[in-house]
Amino acid sequence: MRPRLRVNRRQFFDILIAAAAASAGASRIDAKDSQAGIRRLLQLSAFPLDLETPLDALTSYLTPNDLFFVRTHWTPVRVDPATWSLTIDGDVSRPLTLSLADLKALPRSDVTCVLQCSGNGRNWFEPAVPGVQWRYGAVGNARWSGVRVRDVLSRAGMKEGARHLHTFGGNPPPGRVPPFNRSLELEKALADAIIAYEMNGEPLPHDHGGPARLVVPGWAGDHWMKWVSKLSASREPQGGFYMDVAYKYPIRPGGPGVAINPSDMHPITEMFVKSNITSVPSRIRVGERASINGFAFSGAPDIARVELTDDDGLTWRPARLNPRHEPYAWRLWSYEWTPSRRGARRIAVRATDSRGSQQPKIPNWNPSGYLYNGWHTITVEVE
Amino acid sequence: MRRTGLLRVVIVLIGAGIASVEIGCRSAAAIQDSTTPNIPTALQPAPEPLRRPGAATASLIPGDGMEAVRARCVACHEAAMLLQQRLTAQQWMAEIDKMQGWGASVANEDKPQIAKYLVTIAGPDNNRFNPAIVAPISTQQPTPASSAQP
Repeated sequence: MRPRLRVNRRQFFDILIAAAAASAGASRIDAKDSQAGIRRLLQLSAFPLDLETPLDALTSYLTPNDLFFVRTHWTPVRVDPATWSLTIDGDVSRPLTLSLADLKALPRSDVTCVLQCSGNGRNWFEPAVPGVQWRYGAVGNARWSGVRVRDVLSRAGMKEGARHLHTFGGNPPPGRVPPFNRSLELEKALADAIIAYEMNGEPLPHDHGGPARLVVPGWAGDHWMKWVSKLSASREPQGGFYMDVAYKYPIRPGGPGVAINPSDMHPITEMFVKSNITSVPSRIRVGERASINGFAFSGAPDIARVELTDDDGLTWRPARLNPRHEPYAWRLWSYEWTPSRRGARRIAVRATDSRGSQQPKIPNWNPSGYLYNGWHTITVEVE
Repeated sequence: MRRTGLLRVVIVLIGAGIASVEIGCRSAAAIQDSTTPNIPTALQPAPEPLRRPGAATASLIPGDGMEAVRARCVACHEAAMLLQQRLTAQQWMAEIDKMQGWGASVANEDKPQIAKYLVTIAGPDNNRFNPAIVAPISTQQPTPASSAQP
């Protein structure tokens, strides 16, 4: 039997970082992870495959495809790009079936934006809720290339009255498990959603939904249908478990663990503003500047500011935002911290987005553990 | 190209300085490419296409009810999915009911034992789980003839 780590989960993520690090000079966010800096993923489930990205691999503006988190409900059917097709039907006057070559012949659109699983951070909710216990890394920023949904739908001829786009993918469930079928408001789909067949300049990998997936900038990953096979315009939203029950969030917060009235549960759409720390120096000394780095993103198009505190929020100081940005992409940030005293110090980060929403210390608990965005706090040891 | 090597990862716990643990797992590349499963014999392999050949998997913790969980739950969910939870008996029973409704072959009389075992290994105070460390995924496009599933 394979031995397993037996440490307190709080210890694992809230632990002395700098002085104890063995490899001097390496930037690391988790001193206990001796693999920091090595290209790797963290596997939460082998089947279905669920992989998250370690924070120290999320330091670049574009997240590499092979390190990008993977979320699957069930093991998907591999699709041959040569025979794959996308059907456009429903409330349209000219239903279409497009091959990958047909899709690539349409005007190309490039969008750089964040993809985050709705359940990213579920592990931090108290009391705990069932589901994949994502920690920090079910998120990444990539350049997605494909065709605008509006360009495809315009060729099919939208009928008057259609308000929703039903989406279907190639991830058939076992037994009587309901299919992962979704829908999103046509207004959003027509505004900026694309059908992506490339990711960071490469053909969209199978594990990321290739040959093609939906990209819905600013919206959580449950809308980004992988292995997309059909888009169907409709007057009504799609039904089924993954619309009527799952991927919903309370419009009025309840207390931790308190049951929510189903009528108060609405579908998740935009992501919440969030920032994470991705690297700190391996050694931090009193009176010496230490560079702390991270990323911030939101369901709003941009981040207005990122701030850090070393006194549990009594005072905040601004981080420097990297100028590289596109709407709904993340902002990398850096912060120069000069500690004034030795010992274990707690550093927290929060972001505020371009619409004024601010990352809370503790987010509202919700029954399925969606959209966690509490302050990211780390503890460092100052020498 | 077929790759069958094991990725052997040694994690040295530095901050606490109290433990040294080895995790043996196959690289994600091997998970994609290998045709030789590396499922521990203690685990019941999931039927295709639920399971990726060669996937690194966790082991259930021995206890009363483990065999029932192995037979009824691990067929579709890798053991790690169970081991990472922190749920009360009530929450586990709700999950079992949901899965039963979705086709899991769980007899009503077995549900209390299964729930009791799951609370033992993955109750509210569970702090034992850590993810397996695996190599980056393969981003190569599949070869249609060999990779297509029925």
